[in-house]
Amino acid sequence: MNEESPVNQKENRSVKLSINSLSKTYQVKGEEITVLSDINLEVYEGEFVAIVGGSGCGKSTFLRIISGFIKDYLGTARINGLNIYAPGRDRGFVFQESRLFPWLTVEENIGFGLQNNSKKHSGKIEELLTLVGLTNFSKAYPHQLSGGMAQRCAIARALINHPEILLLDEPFGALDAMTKVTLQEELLKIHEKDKTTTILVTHDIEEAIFLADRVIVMTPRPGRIHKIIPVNLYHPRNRNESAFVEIRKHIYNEFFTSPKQEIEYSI
Amino acid sequence: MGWILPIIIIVFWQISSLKGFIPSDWLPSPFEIVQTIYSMAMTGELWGHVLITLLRVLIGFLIGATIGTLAGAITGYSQTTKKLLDPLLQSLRNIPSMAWVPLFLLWFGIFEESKIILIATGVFFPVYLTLSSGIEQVDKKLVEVGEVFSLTAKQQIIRIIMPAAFPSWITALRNGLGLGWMFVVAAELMGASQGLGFLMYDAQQTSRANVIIACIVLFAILGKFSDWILASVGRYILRYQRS
Repeated sequence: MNEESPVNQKENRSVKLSINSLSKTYQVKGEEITVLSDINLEVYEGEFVAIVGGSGCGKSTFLRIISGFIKDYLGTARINGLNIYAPGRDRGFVFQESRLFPWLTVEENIGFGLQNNSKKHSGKIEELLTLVGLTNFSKAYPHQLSGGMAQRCAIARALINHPEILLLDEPFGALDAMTKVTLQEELLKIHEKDKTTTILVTHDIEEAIFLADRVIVMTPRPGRIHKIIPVNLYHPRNRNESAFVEIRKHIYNEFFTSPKQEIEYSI
Repeated sequence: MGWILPIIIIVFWQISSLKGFIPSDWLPSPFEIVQTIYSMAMTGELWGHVLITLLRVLIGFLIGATIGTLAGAITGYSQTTKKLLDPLLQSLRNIPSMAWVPLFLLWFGIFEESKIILIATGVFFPVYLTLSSGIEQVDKKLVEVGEVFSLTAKQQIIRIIMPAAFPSWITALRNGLGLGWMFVVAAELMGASQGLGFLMYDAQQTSRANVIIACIVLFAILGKFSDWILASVGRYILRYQRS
């Protein structure tokens, strides 16, 4: 699709997350509704994967299965070969809302997930404060933070236990356009630095292309993987560059040409 | 702003009394009331009454608030317990305070027990109701964050539910204390030999309007002051909410 072909040594990397024939149905008033149907996916160590799709395509459900919130699914979902059956410290989760604890300071929020709050961890918290650029706000309370700062804090909180996988559920969906771009760049920086395997769910196609190694396009009713599109562009990516625009067009077309599907999406 | 109207009323009231528009045995002047409080304080008559009333409210409040907090916490946390307990408590709540009095006098005698139990009953309901709904309304999204970090049920309660429900607990205690002050009057009007409520009753028997109004003023001051203490403690602990 394009000439540039950087960092793509997936073959040598180990599989972090493997999903096999994953399905999920809900019972709604006696009717069975399939939210996810036959999902197969492998995510490699250190990889950044973005899942895009309109509402109702099951992308959030998918993330909640990996996080362990949803336990009654069909098929297998494994991290490092181990079945996922409950939430755990090996996964960090960032929600659309920051969900910071209002009674804790920024540093206390970041340290929330630590097993025991001993002193030896303070270095860890400091490191994360620097990573997300909140060092000067370590003693601030959440209500004193802007939306973007709160979300940085939430990302740091999710990283405290060195998770195997970082899961982000539309983390920038509630932010204004300018803050959103800044945080996307921040997230990229964080990912480049600690190489945590990351799965981002978003309805923003551009965000997905800007950040991810692979973009997974999902279609609704029932939610299934429609296409997986690799993004072989060097970072930092330029949103106006022709290769970028080409991929964006390509993904748009995946939505519009998919037959007999009503798709509501926004960018 | 809130001070303007009361001051105007007091000034107007004082002038009317001085001019003789209002008979002083019917409504004594503000100055007379202050003087009454002052002289009762000087002779020492007042302190015994104030102290016993304060003690009754305090003990009744502590008992009612403790039981109310436990019941509120349990029903707020567990829906099953709520379904079991709440309908009964909701129906008991609507019984007027004075309706308990004869029963409590019969059961617990005319001394302190019946008064304190009456006050505790008054305190219990608002504490129970406010805290129960406060815990129920703890943001489930925050609880989910706890799940992400695999908190145990005990950790969830201590690290998320308790701090999240703390503001409503303060509100619950303030509501309870307010009711405690209402119930202490009921308790003391019924058959006490000491206390501000008794003083009012006694003043009514001897037609001393100045003492009755002095007691009303004292109730207002004590009620407001005790609420202020609770509110200040709450504000201090909840200082993270403000900038």
